[in-house]
Amino acid sequence: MKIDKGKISGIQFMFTVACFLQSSSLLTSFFTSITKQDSWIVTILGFIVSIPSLLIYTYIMKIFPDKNLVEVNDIVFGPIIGKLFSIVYLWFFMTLSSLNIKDLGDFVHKTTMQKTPAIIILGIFMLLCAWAVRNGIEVVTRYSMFFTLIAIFIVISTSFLTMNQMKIDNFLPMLNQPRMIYIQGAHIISTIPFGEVMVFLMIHPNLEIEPKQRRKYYTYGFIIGGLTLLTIVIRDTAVLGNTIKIFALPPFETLRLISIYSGLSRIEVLFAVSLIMLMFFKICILYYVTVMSIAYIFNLKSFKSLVISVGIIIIMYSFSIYPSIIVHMNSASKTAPFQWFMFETILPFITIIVAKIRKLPKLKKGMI
Amino acid sequence: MLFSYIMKKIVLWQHYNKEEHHDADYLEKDISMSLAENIEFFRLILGDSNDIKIHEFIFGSNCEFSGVLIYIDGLVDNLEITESILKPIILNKNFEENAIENFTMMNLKKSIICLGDITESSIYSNLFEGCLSGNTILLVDGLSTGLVISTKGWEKRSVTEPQTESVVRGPREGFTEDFRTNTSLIRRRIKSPKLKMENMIIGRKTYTNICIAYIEGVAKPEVLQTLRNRLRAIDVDSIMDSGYIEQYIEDYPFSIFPTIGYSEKPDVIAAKILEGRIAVVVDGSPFVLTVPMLFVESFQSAEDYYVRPIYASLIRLMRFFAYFIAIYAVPGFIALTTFHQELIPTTLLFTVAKAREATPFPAIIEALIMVISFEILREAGLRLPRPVGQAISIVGALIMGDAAVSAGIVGAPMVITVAIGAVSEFIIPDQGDSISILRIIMMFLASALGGFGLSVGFLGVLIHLAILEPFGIPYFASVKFSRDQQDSFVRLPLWVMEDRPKGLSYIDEKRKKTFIPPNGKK
Repeated sequence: MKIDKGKISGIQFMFTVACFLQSSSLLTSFFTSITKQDSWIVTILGFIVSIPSLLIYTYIMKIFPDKNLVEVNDIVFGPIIGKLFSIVYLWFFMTLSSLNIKDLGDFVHKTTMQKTPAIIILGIFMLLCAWAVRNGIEVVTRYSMFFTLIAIFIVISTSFLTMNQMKIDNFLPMLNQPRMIYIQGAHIISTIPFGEVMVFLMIHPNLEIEPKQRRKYYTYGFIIGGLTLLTIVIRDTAVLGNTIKIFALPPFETLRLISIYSGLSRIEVLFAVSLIMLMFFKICILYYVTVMSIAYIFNLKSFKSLVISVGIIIIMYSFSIYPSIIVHMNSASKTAPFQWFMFETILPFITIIVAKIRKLPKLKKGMI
Repeated sequence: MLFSYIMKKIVLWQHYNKEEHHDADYLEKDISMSLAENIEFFRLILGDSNDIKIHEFIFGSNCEFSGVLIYIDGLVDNLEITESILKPIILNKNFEENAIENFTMMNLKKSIICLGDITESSIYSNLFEGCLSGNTILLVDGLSTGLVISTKGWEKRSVTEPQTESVVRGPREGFTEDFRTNTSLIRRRIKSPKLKMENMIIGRKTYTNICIAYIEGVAKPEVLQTLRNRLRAIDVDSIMDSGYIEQYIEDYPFSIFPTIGYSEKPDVIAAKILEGRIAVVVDGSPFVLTVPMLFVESFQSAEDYYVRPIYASLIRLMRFFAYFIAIYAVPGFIALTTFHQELIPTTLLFTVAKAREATPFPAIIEALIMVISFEILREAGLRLPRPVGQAISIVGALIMGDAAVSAGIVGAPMVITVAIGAVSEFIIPDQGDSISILRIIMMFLASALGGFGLSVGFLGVLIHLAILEPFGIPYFASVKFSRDQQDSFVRLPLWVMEDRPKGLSYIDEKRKKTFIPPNGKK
């Protein structure tokens, strides 16, 4: 039983993954504040570290090509334990959604509209997302290519525009920090931006492509997103140097420094526009995934009636999740990676192991 | 031939709408053998209208037959009636012996009347239908069938250059109000036998001819079937223009974006048919509709394909940019002056601040005054007789522009912004309504939420565009299918565009078989 009959093509899926990663790459302070000028090394490390998780996801996609995560849980763990697993995942998806909408709300609130109550900003944005989510996955992913290309264009053009500010010295001293910092940084990167792509396990039944091809597109999208993140981090480090650790939004500060004969300045508007656009995309996907997992857990026939109520819950949750931005930053760099690690790597891994032990997909094939 | 086809369609269509057409039922009977009775019936139904001519005559070797011609003066070609119908019949004295027993309409049709398009019918409704659409009815005493002879000929506008889509380079002919001329203009451009034209008649009182033109194998059958069903479901008194049809068959009547395209130029319509669209020609309208419409269509001008690709691409990009400016110039200015003053360069900020200092209203009110008065001026300029229209533009330019600023009602920067937005709007005439509406929505968003509001509005428009699927084809297809990029934001050289747009075409997807650059080098 498929609730949403929308179809995603391979290219579109690739760009969806890329765009999803790019949207996290604009808020890099959670790891640049720890690893400072070595962030780019850590980004590469994190990318390599998250490859096994990627293999786990694509393996699940391959053996259960037309089942989403909730259905896979039901099949692998049985109806009761499976539902428990699904509810835990649901909590994870919901937390991710509220964290992201909180990020966006904070950004708009802090940079432009200090006097506007946050609930107005979040409410309007959530209504917008709800409109897209109500119309299904096709509408949500339609603009992935458009957004990705715009983001890539902005990253590349700003890299050129900041050329005069860049100093090679800013990368020094290299590898001069305690060893644990690198492990911590790589872990954060592999869980927070890269690991979050596990949400596509809820979407993959809608893919129009062969199960064997999914890994290819998934990996390409992952690489595009990763490269964008790497470019942004290198650019910011080259411009800001060691001071990267003190900014809440390093890319924003970098773009603010652009000034070419006072003609080309105030480029940070581009950052604001692309942030809102990409965050809209990411929140839509997370929101959609949350709604779909509720719909599947309770075996609903349609998800449309859920959309608004889930949106309200996400907003409320985002208000109560952290008392202040300091706690948020602290949690993002110290506790969250371990929590996310459980959802993103350990649970899917357990799923595969149990499925292997019970020889599930083979049975399924024999039945068909 | 064609006429009999139309007649068949009428019968089918009347069968389809049997319940709704009580008023036509009394015509659904066979004609009488007696000529006098028939004439009486015609007089009864058509009344005393003085443009209806009933011409009785006798013919035969010994004048043994009597017949009648019924036609409407003004709709027929009088010369043709005299030369090709009356003369041959009356002057023919070579009827056989005992002709009265064996005489049939077949004889007349086959050997006497010198016209090609003749239909034999024995039902009143067909005869009336034919008579009212400009044909001549021939009835002979003692025969149970009549002839409908095509003698259409009326005053019509000649094919001229259309006023709406003027081009510097390219064909200059445009459609007229005449149905047959319009279909022939399409047929002349596509000589393939696969070009099909299906006729139907819509309108209980107007009996308007509608023609669906498409290329078999290129147009999608699903779209074609949907279109046919929707056209058949139309049940109204009158169809005055293709705009009526558009409103009866569109998918999203409440969307601000048009989902059915139109054009006045045969070359444009032919090109669209060749891309897999279906054209709807409506009698009495020089605007031919095409379904389904895509968003990029509004940005594609006929001339883009007639000039060389690089310049065409530049202009294409410029149009998208102009669309953006037309919507966002005024709201952007409101957002800048109200929320994000820090983004304005300092020197300009002084000027803007000085202008804002002198005006009493907040930016949104100022903008509304200007935008509304601009819309009023434009409407006035369109509707007024041309000489007065000149006066209006002077009034607009001087009073609205200069005097409003010196009177201190609006600031000069606002006038400039509104003017830029207004001028940009004229580059994309197809999207005029969506621009005007979106601009006002965005103005309110900008005044309430600044740049964030503008972003939200932009994303909202994107979502709305993604939802639209006229006739099952994604409206914003150029974002969905990567193949359609060849002709959306840029226009690639014609020899590169090998495939038709993906969403539209069916089996025959290739425009050409082999890829050959113009200089022959692979």
